[in-house]
Amino acid sequence: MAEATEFKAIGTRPVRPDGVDKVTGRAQFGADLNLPNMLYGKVLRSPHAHARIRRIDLDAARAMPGVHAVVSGADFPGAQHGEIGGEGGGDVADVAKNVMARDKVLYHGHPLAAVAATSQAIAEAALAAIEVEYEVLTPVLDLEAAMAPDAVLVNENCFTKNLPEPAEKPSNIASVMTLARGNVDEGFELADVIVEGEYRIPMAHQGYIEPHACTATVNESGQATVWTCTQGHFALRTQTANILDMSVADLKFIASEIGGGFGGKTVVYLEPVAVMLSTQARRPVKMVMSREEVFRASGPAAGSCAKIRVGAKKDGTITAATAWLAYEAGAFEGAPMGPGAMCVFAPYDLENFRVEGFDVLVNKPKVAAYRAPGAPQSMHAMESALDDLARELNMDPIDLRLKNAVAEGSQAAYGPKFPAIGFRECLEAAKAHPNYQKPVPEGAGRGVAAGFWFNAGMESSAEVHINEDGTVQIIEGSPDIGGSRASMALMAAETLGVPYEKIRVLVGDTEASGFNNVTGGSRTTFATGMAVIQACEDIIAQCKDRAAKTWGVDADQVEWEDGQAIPAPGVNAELKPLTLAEIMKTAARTGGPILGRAALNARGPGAGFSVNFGDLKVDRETGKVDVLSFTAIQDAGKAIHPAYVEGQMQGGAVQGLGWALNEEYIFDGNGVLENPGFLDYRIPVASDMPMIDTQIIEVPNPSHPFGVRGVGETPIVAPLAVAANAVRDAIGRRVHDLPLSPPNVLAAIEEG
Amino acid sequence: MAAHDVMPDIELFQPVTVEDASAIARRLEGRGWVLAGGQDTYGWLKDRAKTATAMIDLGTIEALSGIEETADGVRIGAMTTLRTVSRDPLIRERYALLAEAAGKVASPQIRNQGTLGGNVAQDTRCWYYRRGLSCYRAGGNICYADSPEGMNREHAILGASRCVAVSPSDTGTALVALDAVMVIQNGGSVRRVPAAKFFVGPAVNITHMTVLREGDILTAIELPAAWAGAEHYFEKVADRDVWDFALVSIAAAFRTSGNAIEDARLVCGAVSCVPHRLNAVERAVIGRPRSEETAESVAGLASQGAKPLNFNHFKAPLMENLVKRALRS
Ligand SMILES: Cc1cc2nc3c(=O)[nH]c(=O)nc-3n(C[C@H](O)[C@H](O)[C@H](O)COP(=O)(O)OP(=O)(O)OC[C@H]3O[C@@H](n4cnc5c(N)ncnc54)[C@H](O)[C@@H]3O)c2cc1C
Repeated sequence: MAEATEFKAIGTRPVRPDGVDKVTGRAQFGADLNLPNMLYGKVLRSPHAHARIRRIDLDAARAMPGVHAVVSGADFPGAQHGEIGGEGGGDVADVAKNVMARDKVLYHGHPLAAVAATSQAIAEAALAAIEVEYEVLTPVLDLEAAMAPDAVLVNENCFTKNLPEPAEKPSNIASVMTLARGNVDEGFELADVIVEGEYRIPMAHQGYIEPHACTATVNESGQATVWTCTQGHFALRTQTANILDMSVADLKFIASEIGGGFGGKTVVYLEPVAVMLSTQARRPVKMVMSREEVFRASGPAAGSCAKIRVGAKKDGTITAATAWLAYEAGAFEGAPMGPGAMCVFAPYDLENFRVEGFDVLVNKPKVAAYRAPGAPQSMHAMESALDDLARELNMDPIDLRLKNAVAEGSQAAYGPKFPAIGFRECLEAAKAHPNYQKPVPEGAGRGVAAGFWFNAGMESSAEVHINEDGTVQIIEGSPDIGGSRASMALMAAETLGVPYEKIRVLVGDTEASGFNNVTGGSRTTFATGMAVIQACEDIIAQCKDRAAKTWGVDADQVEWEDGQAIPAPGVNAELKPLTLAEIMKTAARTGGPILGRAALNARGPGAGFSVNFGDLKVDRETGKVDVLSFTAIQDAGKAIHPAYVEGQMQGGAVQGLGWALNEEYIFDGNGVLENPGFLDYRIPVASDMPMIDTQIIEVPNPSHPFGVRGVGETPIVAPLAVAANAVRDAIGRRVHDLPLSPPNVLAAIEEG
Repeated sequence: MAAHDVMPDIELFQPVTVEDASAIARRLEGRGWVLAGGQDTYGWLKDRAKTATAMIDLGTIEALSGIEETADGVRIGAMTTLRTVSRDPLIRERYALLAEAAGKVASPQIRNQGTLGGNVAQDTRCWYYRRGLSCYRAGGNICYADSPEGMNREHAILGASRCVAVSPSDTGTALVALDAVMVIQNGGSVRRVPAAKFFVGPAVNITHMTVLREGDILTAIELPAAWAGAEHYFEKVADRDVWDFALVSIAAAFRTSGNAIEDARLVCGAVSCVPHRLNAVERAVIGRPRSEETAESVAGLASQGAKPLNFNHFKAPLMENLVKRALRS
């Protein structure tokens, strides 16, 4: 499909519509909004990782001059249970307690009260005046301790879900999951070689530059307006409504520009608190997290432990594989154990496998989505094991993967049959890539790994308005986090046949746009794009109708070509084509304004596969690992804006490499995070990274009119194992646990 | 927990003479804070982990900046920025060890702003102490980092005494290696303190990392001619190449005659509360060449007496490896 079609707009690389305002500082981010009479809201956070709240005394804080509202858990209604939606798993009732603790605080930094005051200084003083009596409990801080039969319980009412028999006593294991096919015992018997390993990855943060921020104002009839930086203002509205027991009709959410989210801005932290404070104070309340609060109390990615066993024949055919995957959920259930378990073997055509997953409570912040949630952790283990296997078999690691790769028609390990996918194409491109042909530099090692993500569809709506001069206004509701306004405009330009420059895109608030689910799951260009395309098709149908009226012919005698209505072949050839501008000139007479719309639940997002490889140098005397080169190859289906697809691939590579090499939540034995800032939480900076080379593969997704697949998440998956495999290659020894920081790598070298 | 990220309200003094700065500092007592480039200062104040309510800005005292040749070496004004120190032709030619060390501090932005004086006078990065907890160093009676629950991957393996914090200064090691002299003025009186005595460990004073006290202004740092043009080696190992403190660093200077080392200074950073001189290694290398063989035979002396904590065992082999590198020519 895509190869055959000549695109005009799609595949070009215009500047993004929001670019100028962003680089000149005009764009309004979460913390930029100020309202007259505004108060500053601040949160009191738990100094303990696990404690019962015996008593909270708010009186002294309330009595302070300049303090206009003080709330604690008791002021919030009990929330209904229900899925929170978006990419992060979890229950609304849990999110309610995460936003404001009730009887127990479950991690260091857990909110338990909040104030609104006329200045930040007064708000801080008021927090200090709140008296809290805690009964300090032993914190549960790692997977082993949490999963032990006699473990201290994070939540006394947590009974393991999905067990064959209902659980009789509470446990920190919130749920389990099993996926299996064939007979693994028999499969391992057939194997000539078996590799196994246990891999640990610490919690990591998405590291978005913009801290969470919102401003809420509630009027006298209880209607609230909330400005917030989020990946999904509709989802946050629903969550806030549930937590505060309000109607969504009384909540208007406006998404500001967003300075990064990567999955972390799909759940509420401040919004319900700001609404509550504003309700009490009857004034607008602004809340902005400090960087430290972001690290301690937003939603990092789950830490994990993965045990993997893979058996293969001499020719590389995998005969059996098992995975045991435990994820730290943090204080409430909802670690991405499900997706992690479903991804671990997804790229491979396996007859016999078994995956067990565990969602485990620990006294750490409740995790949230982070690009391809769950997949980097589990696939790091599998892709490391395959590397060991390739070594044992003396096979090229790409050949080993080719031998077992899924293709169109393969039954995915997680269930469905794959439609057209581009995994083999990525593997072949990697093998043929000039960077792969080059020898590995002295002192370095080369690592190869594959990545996978399902991608999501979900609900989107879009409207397209034709302005009176024929220019085009798109209104949709998916916050633009990676250039989606440009993608929408390009797809509209292609569909309508008008130039990109004549199209404007509004990310509408919850009152201006139809419902759009979160910008997450790599779904926006795919699903919201599909809504935009359909809304444009609606416009075309109406324009043909208007042209038919103007010309006095039937609508089916009009065709649409290059942004103009033209008479169909055989119809009066004298008729001059009508452009959008011309149609609009007479629109009042032919039926009034022209507005197209579409609302859908997009199906068939099209799985995303990648193959990455890189050369990493290890200093054997210091343990320092440097990335010398890195190549990311990924199937995008169809790259609507190739530069932004490459940007996703490069950004994902850098985040994955950061997680592999240096990023980690460093907790002490009391459950206190010791590196809640960018100095000690070490994301890579520009000088740490080489240019990331990219190659886009285009195997069109049959479910999308232009063949689009999501591209935002797959890129972070493979780099973890690429780094681990390269270090293995360089030092002749596998370091199973991440990060591959100097202390850890040096320790491994010293041991060996 | 810090919910700030913003400066507190604070008074600002901008004296134009060292005498005035010193006098203001003494008058303000504990509530005053000497301000150089602010790169350590602002973090403390923004986090509310220290409670100064007035800053005495040295930026308005012209005499404190600049590099000049003296009868016995080179004198660097305390307010000279790290960027200047790292790029100055005279320093690069004669004291390249210091230029390299200064060039490895933090990031270009911080080096543009941070001063040499501030770099040696900065406080430790121990994350418990910086969180404002009442530990030994803050006047309390516990060391959180050295408790059973403590996370101490970045703490001391040598010279600890109740407190296990380390000296964070990248230039401190180089200055100790070069036998630098710190010139300190208080009111009208000036005293000169060798770099090795400028930094103090917890056994001497647990609440101060240097000898600086109220009213003391570090005015200059003098580098003696004796070490000008010496062979040198500097390396800083950190988790990240820029914008990160050392896990372990080494500054070494050698005077050689023919092939043999006549005099040597080897100083490790981030292993002890002060820049840690490797006296045993220095003695052992006298008379030997800088070579692989010398490196191998003396490296083990580097970490003698080390007492690693739960999470920093890597520091001892890292010290030894850095000593080896310094000794290979
Ligand atoms: C993100 C980050 C990363 C960093 N990385 C490193 C690193 O890798 N290596 C490193 O060594 N440092 C590092 N630092 C620390 C910083 O670079 C140094 O602290 C800087 O050199 C301090 O200089 P300044 O002039 O800004 O000091 P200031 O903050 O102004 O002062 C620091 C301290 O010294 C005192 N002081 C300063 N000048 C004088 C004087 N003339 N007389 C008396 N007292 C004085 C001040 O009162 C204050 O207590 C880092 C800091 C940050 C924020």
